[in-house]
Amino acid sequence: MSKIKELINKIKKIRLSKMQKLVALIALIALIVAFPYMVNDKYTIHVFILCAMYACLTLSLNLIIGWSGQFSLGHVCFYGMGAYVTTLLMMNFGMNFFLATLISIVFTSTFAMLLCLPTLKLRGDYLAVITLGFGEVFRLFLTNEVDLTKGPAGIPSIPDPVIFGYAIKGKQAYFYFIMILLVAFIAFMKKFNNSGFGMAMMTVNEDDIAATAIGLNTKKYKLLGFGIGGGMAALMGSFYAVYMGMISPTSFAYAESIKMVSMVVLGGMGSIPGSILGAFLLTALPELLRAFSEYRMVLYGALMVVMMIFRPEGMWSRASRLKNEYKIKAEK
Amino acid sequence: MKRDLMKKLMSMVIASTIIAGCLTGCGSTSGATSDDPISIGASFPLTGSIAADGQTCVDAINLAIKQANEAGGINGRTLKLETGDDEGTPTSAASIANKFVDDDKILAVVSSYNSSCMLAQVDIYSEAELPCISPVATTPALTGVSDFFYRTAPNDADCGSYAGDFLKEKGISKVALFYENDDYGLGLAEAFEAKCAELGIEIVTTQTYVYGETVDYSTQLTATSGSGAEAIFVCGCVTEMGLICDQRSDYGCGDMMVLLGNGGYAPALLDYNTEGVYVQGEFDREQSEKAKEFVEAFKTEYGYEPGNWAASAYDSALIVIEAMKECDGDITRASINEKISGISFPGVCGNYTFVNCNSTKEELMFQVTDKKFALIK
Repeated sequence: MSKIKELINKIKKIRLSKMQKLVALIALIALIVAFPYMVNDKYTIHVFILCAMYACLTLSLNLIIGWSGQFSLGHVCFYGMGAYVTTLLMMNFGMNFFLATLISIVFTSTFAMLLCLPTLKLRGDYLAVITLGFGEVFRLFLTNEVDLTKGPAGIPSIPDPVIFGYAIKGKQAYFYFIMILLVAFIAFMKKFNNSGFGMAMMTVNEDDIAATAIGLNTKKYKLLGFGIGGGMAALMGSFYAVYMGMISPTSFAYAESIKMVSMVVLGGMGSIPGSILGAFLLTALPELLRAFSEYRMVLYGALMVVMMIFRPEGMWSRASRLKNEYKIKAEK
Repeated sequence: MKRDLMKKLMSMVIASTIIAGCLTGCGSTSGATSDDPISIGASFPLTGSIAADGQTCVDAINLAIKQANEAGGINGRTLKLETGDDEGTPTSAASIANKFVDDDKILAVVSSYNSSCMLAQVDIYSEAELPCISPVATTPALTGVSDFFYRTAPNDADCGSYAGDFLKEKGISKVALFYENDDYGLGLAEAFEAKCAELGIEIVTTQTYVYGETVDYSTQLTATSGSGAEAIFVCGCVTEMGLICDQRSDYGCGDMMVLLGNGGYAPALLDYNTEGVYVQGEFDREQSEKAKEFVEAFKTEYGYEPGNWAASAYDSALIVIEAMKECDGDITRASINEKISGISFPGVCGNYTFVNCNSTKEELMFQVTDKKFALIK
């Protein structure tokens, strides 16, 4: 365990010059572009697509939990809403994927804020219970509103997205698509994290009263936390729908919310690299453990317990950054 | 400082080489030689709330493979089963399908339990031209979906209309419809509703319940008793059906004829108060020689009685094995698919040929008499 800690320390201490950063960036892009050609293996690419998708979802949930400090257990509701709204617009009105996604993001964002409105005064456990309940209500709505959502049978054969006459089809295209989205999400979160808006949101998270005292409108930040996080999840829901080609209420069950919360908590609340790390680990781990067949889920659970014992604040948490746990020297 | 940086860079380079090495390692697949065992993929829910149902299918497939291997395998090559746990969720099911598709040794697949999982997998198999037979996925949405997909599972549309015809024959004009609120229950219920509309049978009340959760049916049965229904048709699974049968006389539905969908044809149903109840089934465990042999072998191997879906999974595996035998040495995904598409095979549940992905096997009707399933049609 200490070795791993040392390794993380080492990686965290690395400070690169501008030139080195550029080289690293180009190398990374080259690796991403070459990746589907290097591994001509559908399963591996599929797992990486899922990893990247969950990384984006974790970022969106982390914005709500880690930055705006509202413990949400119903993230699957926004994810599923995005998937269903986009799919229904595409299937019923023949709308282009990108336009449909835009509408579904706006719709889900508005909805997330509306859900947040009556719960503004709730924090912690109470909010968790409300969001948890809402996730269930949403799943039951999908199951029972048969005329609209085709009910438990789900909606099969969702068309591929078309951009400038080119249809995104096949594993490689989807791999590039999700990588572009992931990079966009990371860039957005970095920008957000360093912006005054992001700082203000963190202040509200740390202390409501202090934030009010310095003139911050706490309601606004809480609402927008849900709004932005919900919208980002909706985008991922839309991606999921076209990538899988079918959606059904079973994909948006309560367990999925828990999975995302685990990724946030294990990765590190309020941390961008933590979110990505958590998502990649918790998506890839069950796949890697397939070799152990029936003991798979037991091992998975055990590993999560071990991680929580040794790193309760997550693998790459904001808390450790604030405490300067790794004794990073300030740049000269 | 400089040495430190060099060290860091070196370790990064080494780490990335190792990662790249691992990744390319994943990509290389060795071609199968003629002595290698042939693998059959099986994707079923092996964890989660329906794990037991998935396991019984895997058991049945394992039995078929074991018997085939004992009889000498296929041209001297042994058969091997690769199982994957799809957890009953479409996302996991798609992962498994991708895994199977990549494995050159897997030449055919028997999969999956849930219709939603099957729908998530079917395109992946078709794209890789890997033949797949589903023993359980019953949704009408799978009819004619691909040239590489077949099912020994009955189509909900056929079952629903079979049930409608049966009620008409019995002179029923008003029926209460019960279904479990998931893809299976709803699919069957919708097909039944359509058939009733066609035959002029009135559905006087529609009641739903939740699979694995609902244990008290007082609301549903009270509503039914006042609705003037002459019969109850239940689309669901054994436990819930048994409970409905047990509770029906407490709420004034004791005199109504009860017809259960094909999910109820399992020995566990006989533990409930089900005397005289009609059940749709897939195989005749009392009279058919083949079925008797299968039930006996299954019981000795695993120590419990197989249900509908176990029999269907056994047949799926037998069809795959038969197709491999017919390939006459040249065993590839394409040749197996070609043989399955033209197959005519007598299985445990009846005679199979495939049209539009569906099997042409006939449905059977049983009545519970003296704690036994008696074939009546």
